Amino acid sequence: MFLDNDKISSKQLISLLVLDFFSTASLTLPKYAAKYGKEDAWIVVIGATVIACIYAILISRVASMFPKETFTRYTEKITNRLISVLLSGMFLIKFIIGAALELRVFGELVKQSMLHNTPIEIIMILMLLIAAYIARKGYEARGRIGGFLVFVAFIPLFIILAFATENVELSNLMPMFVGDPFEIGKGIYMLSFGFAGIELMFIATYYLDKPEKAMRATLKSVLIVGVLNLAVTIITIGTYGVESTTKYIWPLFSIMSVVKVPFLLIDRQDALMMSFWIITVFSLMSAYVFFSSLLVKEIFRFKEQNFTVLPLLPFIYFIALIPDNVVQTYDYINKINIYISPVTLVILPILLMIIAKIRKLGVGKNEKI
Amino acid sequence: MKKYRLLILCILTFDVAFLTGCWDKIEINDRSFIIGIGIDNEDGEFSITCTTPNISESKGGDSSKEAQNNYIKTSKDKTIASALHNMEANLDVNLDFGHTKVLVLGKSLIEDPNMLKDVVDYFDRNTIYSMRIKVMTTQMKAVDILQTKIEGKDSTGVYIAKIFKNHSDDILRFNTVDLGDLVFQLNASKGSALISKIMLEDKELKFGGGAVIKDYSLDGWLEEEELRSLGWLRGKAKRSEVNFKYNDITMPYCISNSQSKSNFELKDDTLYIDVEIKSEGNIPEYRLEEQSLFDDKVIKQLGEAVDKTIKEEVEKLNAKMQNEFQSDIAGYQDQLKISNRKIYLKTKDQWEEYFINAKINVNVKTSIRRIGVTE
Repeated sequence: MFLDNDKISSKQLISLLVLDFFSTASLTLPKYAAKYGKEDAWIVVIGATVIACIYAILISRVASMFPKETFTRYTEKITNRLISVLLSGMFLIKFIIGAALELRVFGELVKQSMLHNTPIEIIMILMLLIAAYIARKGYEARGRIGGFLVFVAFIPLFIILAFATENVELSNLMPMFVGDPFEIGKGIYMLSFGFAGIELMFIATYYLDKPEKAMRATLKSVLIVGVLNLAVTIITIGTYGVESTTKYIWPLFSIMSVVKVPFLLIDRQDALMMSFWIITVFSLMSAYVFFSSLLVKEIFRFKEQNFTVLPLLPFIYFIALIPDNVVQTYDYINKINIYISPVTLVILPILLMIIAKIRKLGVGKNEKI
Repeated sequence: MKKYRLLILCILTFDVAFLTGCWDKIEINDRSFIIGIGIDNEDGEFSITCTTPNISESKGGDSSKEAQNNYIKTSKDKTIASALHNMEANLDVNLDFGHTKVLVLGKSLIEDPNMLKDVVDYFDRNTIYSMRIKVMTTQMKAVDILQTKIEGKDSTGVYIAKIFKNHSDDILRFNTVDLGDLVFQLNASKGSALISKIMLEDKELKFGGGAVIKDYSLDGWLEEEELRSLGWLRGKAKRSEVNFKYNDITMPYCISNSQSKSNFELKDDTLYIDVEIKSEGNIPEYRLEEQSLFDDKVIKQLGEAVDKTIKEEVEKLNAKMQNEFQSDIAGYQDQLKISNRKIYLKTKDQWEEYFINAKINVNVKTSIRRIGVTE
């Protein structure tokens, strides 16, 4: 049966990554871009995308040096068993915390804007269960679902964004090139961690049917989301101006409630936008849950991955309930981005690459696999 | 499979009973759709008026009946949320603000900067309110506007919302301000905005003019003609008319399209603004048996007469902005941002001062395209 095959094509990988990146970054992105870049927010977004491309190159380069081995295996080869288990453990914890915080943001946003009386626990449990369900089915099922969901989520989004351009006032985006270079640099650095999902490529490359295409696929997805982010930022700031954009927690939703789509039965687009965003959250949650369970399997050398999914859920759920409120949740997310993401995105791949080169491990760039 | 058939049947049956909805389910007959909200300041407290159409009555179409077509509730408290809560707690239905169309702010409210800030923040912060709610103000109390009974119409809120829907591009009378616009204007300019005015004249609701907000409180009122000049300055004066005099006959000129462009120059620390207003339109009315309009010379003279009238009106508004309000209501700075980055950066910090002392020159170019089908 194809479910046991567990290999995905690079097209499916792109769909999955696009959904994941968009889910984490796009919600708050215009806010931070405007905060650091002011009218030059677009420079911040472009810069962040370029930096994210570097992360993508580093990580997929390391992973594609060992196309036939899983993350735990090849780190064990490069270093030793203890360090490889520690690294896998670190990623496991990061994914679980990442999933938990993302789940909390999801719960807060849904409760705030749609289900005012529904307990946040129920909203979160439902999302967690459906993510776990698809994570249990293996990578191929996720790949197929990703290839399908990407159209469901993004085609309507493009249509709404196209109508949103009507409200853009050029004067809100002018004058250009007046931002403080230091602040812009800081913004680029901070926003590039919106693409922290790239670290999934450490593990995912093994599951590609053609691992040599990993780098290309990752770069493509980063660029697609980069362009999308740029459009979202320009439209949001163009409509609301820098001051208002920085005031909203989730500017993308606030902007959607002013968009008017002619001939559409629905008067307010924010609810519509919310449903597409939930699709991307689902994709991201299932990715985190799936890769966490995979790491558990690798660390303990289990034969199967699917039975390690359910035991992880309580951890994610309870960590999601730790922050007192949405402010603290974002505080935690930012702290992880500042202190841990640089390690996993830059330092780790460089170290692994150097050690592998010194010990002459892995396949070279142009060698046939 | 056969073994489980009964079990599956049981599960499906239970689903029907248990998966019907969630915590947020409210039946439609338990909802009361608030169409219009009015807020007044009563001795430092928010007095909130909500109007809701009586759906079961109004769908019958017989508005002459004695039955009440329009419910109005008023509640008062120190904060908006608690005032609304007080109102809801004493009703047999749940208030639903998802379809709110109109927000009327009383004069007493916009005179108090803190209260205006509270109101704008409340509606911006809570997602149940659409950002496209039309905001307006009045020189009276908001409650009086919403309580007006309009002959032949069911609900005042719906009536106002429909006016906006059908005449949204009529900038002549309506400086349409959405809630989103208002928040944006106040944020971007740190407290300045223009809100359109609604008034009650002979038991009829009328739009015209607007309230100038500066530092989050009322600074003065603009008249209907001044709002029209503002439309010309912003290049958004579609569907406006201007009456001008030609050979002692008053004639109308209907603008179908208008554009405005400003050039800026900074000489000896004085700002020179050159405004060019271009418009095209038609002459729909003249006097029988007078001289023929089918003459290029006459058309040109008519154009010049229109130019003069528009120029006078715009100059009057400019003078009022500079001297009376001392505030850039027309948004010259936004145009400056786009057209001249150097001057913008230089004047940005003391824009108000530069604007007040600026020399503004207005050029008007009118193109009369059509004169109807008679000479």
